[in-house]
Amino acid sequence: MFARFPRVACRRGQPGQNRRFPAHHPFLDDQTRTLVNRALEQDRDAVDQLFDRYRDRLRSALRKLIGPKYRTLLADSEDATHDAILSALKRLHQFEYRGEGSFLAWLLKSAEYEIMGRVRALEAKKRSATGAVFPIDEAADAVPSPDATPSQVHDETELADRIREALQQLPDREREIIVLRRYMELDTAEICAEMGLPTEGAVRALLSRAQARLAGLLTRKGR
Amino acid sequence: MTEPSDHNTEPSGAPQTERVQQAVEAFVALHTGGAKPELAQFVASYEEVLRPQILSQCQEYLTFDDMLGHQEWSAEAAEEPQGRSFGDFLIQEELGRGGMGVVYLAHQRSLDRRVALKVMTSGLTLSERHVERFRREALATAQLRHPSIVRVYDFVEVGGAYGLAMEYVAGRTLGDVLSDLSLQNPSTESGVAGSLGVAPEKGYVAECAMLAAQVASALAAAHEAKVVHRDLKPRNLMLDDQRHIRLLDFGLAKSLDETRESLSMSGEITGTAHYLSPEQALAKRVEVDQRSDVWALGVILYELLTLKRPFEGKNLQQIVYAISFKEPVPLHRHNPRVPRDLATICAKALEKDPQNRYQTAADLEADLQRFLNWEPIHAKPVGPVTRAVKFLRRHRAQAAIAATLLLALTITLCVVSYQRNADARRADALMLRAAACADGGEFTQAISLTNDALRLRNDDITRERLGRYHAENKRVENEAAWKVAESKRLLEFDPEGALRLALEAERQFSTAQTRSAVLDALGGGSATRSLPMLGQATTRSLSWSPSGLYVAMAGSRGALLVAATDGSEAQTVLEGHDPGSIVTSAAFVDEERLVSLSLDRTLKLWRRSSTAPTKSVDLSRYGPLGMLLDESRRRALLVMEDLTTNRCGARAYDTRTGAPIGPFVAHAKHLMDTVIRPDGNVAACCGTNRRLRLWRLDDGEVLIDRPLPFETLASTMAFSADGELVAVGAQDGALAVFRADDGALVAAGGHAAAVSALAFSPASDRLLSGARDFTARIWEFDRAQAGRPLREASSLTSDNRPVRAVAFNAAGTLCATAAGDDNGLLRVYDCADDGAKRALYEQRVGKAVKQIAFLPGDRELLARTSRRAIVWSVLRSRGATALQQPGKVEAIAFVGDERRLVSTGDDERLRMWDRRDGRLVWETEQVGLPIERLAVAPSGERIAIALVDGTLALHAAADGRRLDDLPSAGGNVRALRFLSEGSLLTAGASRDGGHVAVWDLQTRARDAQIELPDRVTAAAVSPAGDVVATIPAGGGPARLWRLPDLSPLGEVGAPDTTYRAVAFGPSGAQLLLCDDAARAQRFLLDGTTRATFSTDGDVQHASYSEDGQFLLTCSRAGTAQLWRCGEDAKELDFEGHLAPLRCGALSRDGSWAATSARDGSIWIWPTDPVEVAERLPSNTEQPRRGR
Repeated sequence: MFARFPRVACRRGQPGQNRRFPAHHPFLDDQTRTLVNRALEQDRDAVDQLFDRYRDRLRSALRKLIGPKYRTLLADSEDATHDAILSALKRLHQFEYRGEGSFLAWLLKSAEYEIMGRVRALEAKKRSATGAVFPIDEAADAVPSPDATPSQVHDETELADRIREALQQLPDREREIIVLRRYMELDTAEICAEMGLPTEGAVRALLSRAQARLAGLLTRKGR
Repeated sequence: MTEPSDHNTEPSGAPQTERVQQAVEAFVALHTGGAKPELAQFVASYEEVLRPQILSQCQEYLTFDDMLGHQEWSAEAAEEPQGRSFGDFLIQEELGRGGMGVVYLAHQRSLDRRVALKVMTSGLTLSERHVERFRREALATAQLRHPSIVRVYDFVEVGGAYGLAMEYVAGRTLGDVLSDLSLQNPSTESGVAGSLGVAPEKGYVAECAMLAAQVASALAAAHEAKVVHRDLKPRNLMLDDQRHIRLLDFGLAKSLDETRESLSMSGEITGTAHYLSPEQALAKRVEVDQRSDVWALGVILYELLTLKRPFEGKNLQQIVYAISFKEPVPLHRHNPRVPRDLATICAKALEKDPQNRYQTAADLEADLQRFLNWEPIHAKPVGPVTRAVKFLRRHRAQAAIAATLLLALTITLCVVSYQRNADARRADALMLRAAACADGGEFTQAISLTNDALRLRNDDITRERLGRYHAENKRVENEAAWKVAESKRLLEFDPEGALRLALEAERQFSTAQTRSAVLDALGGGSATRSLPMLGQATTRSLSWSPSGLYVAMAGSRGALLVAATDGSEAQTVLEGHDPGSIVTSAAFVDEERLVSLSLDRTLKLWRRSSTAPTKSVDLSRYGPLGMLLDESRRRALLVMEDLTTNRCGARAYDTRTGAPIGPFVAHAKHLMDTVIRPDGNVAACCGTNRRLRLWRLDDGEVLIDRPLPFETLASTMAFSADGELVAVGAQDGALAVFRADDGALVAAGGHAAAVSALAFSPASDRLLSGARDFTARIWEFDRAQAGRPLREASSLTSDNRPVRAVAFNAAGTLCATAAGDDNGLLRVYDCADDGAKRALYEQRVGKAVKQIAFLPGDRELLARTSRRAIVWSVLRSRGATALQQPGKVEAIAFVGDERRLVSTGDDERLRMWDRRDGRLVWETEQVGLPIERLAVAPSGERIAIALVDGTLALHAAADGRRLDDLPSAGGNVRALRFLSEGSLLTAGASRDGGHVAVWDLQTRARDAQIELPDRVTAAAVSPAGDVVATIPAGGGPARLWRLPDLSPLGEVGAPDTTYRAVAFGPSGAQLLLCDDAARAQRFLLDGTTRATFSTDGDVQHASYSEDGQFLLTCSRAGTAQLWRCGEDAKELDFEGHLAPLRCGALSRDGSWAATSARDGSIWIWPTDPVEVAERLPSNTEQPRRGR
């Protein structure tokens, strides 16, 4: 009773619900589906394997997504991205409810929420009346980006923010394709499989449409 | 029914936006294809009006592309293959699948526009019914014109397949938006973070209301056209690019004009279950009209505001049941940010009876608009009747007091005006004293003195003075009344402040209200004090010395602190651990020595008096996680991660020498929890490998290694005090108890959500578990059996907060729970009896409580949050003490030395309580029938009881043993009194009417008996024991009888009144009668009335204290009132009970009152709470009140 030890298992959803991942889900390859199902059953090894599988891709995508401001705050800290991806994996059971869409895109979105939660917490702390910033682990020691002037960093941060906001407003499939292509850097064939699109042409059409709409949303935001 | 395409009628210039979009798409396609077109040239090929927009969007795209690093398609990218065709439409992409068919994004060639094309699934055998329904959707939707309803362009048939062409809306369904928001907001307890994008600047709640108003407006338009949607749900609502809501899928729509046959087979549930209205869920097809859509919108509004559906269930049946019969959890409980008006609107939309709902969507929209415009809404919150009744009840009491005061004032003034001519010098002296009193703030005294003076010398100066004192008095009275009100408000979160205010009010202007407020603020008896904090560091561990006099606190930043538990400032900071790392645990070895474990990978030994460690043990091979001590505190079990193998395990160390005992035993990659057997020889743990392992610490030999019978990982463990049992709780709420010697499963059971804490009772016969399902439960089991279910003995609720920690006291008589994620709630319960029970004591703590424990001595509870630790003196009875027993408590009485209270009632037992700490002294076996009355002999040694059938028995007051049985009284006994040590009086019913009898306890025979035509409902014996008064059941005056021969003496009271309670005044010369109209009257024994006063509700029981100081009345309204004898002035109101009262008792010296109620609650409370409050340590330094 003197100490509580780290809890690392997946959080379960509402009791009594069958959380197995549907076998007919068209967008997951067999291996991923097996891993996800095992992870849903609290198999720690499966979570680890999923983590290893997506870590690098997710980390670079997260960096792009949250821009330089947060990079200096958080993302360069291995722990922050690491934690974000892990806790996203722990929320796997929520993915099933949506029933459709890309697993990878969901994973990134989920990790993004985690990391933005940390950013918000950190900013709130910065604003707190004491004026003193609590160091959360090593993260708060902001590392200035080596090759950018402050105004460049600011502009880039603002753009990243705007893009992130605009992405939120895109229809799901359009956002997914942008995330998969531009952030996770999947190629056309992979996107075809991941999103269940019929042809590579369809991927290109959807991506063009999505990027055009994003540009539209960005102009609206920018004004 | 082809819709003519006419772009000019489009309201928002949509085609222009679309053409820009297509142009940008073309640019993007070229750009990614590697063509790198010159932007200016590209734009020039478009119409003039579109150019600026196309240009800026293309520029945005280039910025975006640049930021992410330009990407091109691989050169071998194939030519776009031609998509499938469906008549005039070229299918481009699948958008989604519904029950009725597939929705595609398609291009209509003839009109060169993008449409959403819904095609009926071809694989389906198309019955007439389906086609008909499909056509109906087209027809229904095509009729509707509203900016928030998606338009239908065309209904086409191609080779036997049907398609519906609709306006293409790019956007996200509300369902997706909601699932994103719930991903972002695991809890909505502090509101919802995020935005629907409708109007982010106005805040989330306003956005919800605006969105609901938009939908209501669209529904109103549909209803106007006599179309009911019938399948409204978030998936059918799209938020488009412009952040407008668009209503889709009228697939189940029904025209209001339709006759009953046709379409849906009667009773068929066609919608999505969660959003069905009760009339749809119960398949009352006849009644399904537009009000079902109002309901569904109510469900959506609820879900938007709380991110939870109001009616949930595991399967269709449960959902339907919840919709039909259960009330949703009040909105503000999920999201306290929801204003009451909006909650009221939502509640009205969710009325089960369509009659009580908004009758039209337009009404709902109007109320939502009113809410958004800050106007009063038309819907009324429920329960105004209840509130009004309560208000009137309060009001009546105040009115009565006001009238009494006014009367007294008038009388005084009259008296004063009579005595004009008197000794002026005496008057001057009185005036001087009055002035002195007024200077001291004692205006009542000053008024009374001035009144005396006025009686002697009635002149303008005295009158003016009196007026001034009255005005001042009034001001003070108002101030005191304000303080009383404020004290009541503060009570919830600052009991100490509330008490201070109530005492101030009492000092200023002592009234029954101020005294009652003091009693209220004293509360159920508890005081807390804070222990010193660790400064900026968070606490990770708290432990206490064997005597409970000292605590050790450890936490982040290498902090380690020893402090005294008595609240003094004295503290010792122990320095030696690396200030950059966390001290995970610290514990006392004995009064003097400590041991601590830090993430700096050292185990350090300390002495309390010196600040430097006496020894440091290097653990550099391991990553320490936690430390546990056995009962004798000789061994510490260190839970650690072996850094070479990355596996977690544990190893024991001697707490006095720091030497390791036995080997390091690795168990799993992660450990969920670890416990040490109280004798210190065996440890048990559960890890991620889902096995339970027990091993001997001395040699590391594994005794038991078995799989856990859980679907999920374990969450917490506990060893029983005798070391023979291990309990394990799981993250899905499952619980299991294992035998420690052979690992056999003894019993299993569980909660509905993760088990967060476990504790065995000190006798190891019960298990206490706390869980995130908001309950703690006490379980019973039979350790001789195997594989039995755990039997739930009690369920302890925790006010909708997840339970985080539980503890038993050392005697096993009390248990404590700590609940809540940010508003901690500590509760202490009595473990003696079974069933769901109320907490004996309750204490709120600002933060989540991480750890609780009773300090040695069992009277104080230690609680630790992440920042502070408090000691709560649970049993230092400050004010009232609450006791609880099952069923109605029919009779209570103080026994002998006033320190004990005996109670009995429906549960067929006699119970003896200790008044001071609420401890149960003894209880008898069940006697087989509910006990109706009890009486305590004058010597205090014997207790007589009467069962409901009239059986009489005698019990010993010392231990509850049954002494003697008497013959039956012949009927229900309503009054039972000892006349002397050897003589007992009974009064009540008999076979044909009523009886009064006097029993000789030696001979067990009746000395005297009379039969009466009416049952006796109540009786009282005069203090001298020479007269008995009885009340007949049919109403009418009380009858008096001489004792011991029971000869009639006369009647007292009005013939047409029904009396409920009777009591003799302390002198025996007056009789108090309380009637069923909340009126109490004092009579002389010859029948003349002396006084009449109002009580709060029908009085069930009235009694005088033996010293003649107080009268206690207990009413059915649930209040007990204490009156000062002779003055009939109210001294106190006690409102701790929640049910009608049954009985009351005053201690012989009048300092304690006890009351009992129908819900099994018994409260013992001081008759002078002010004196009790002033004796409290924190108030001693304040001045005495002037009274």
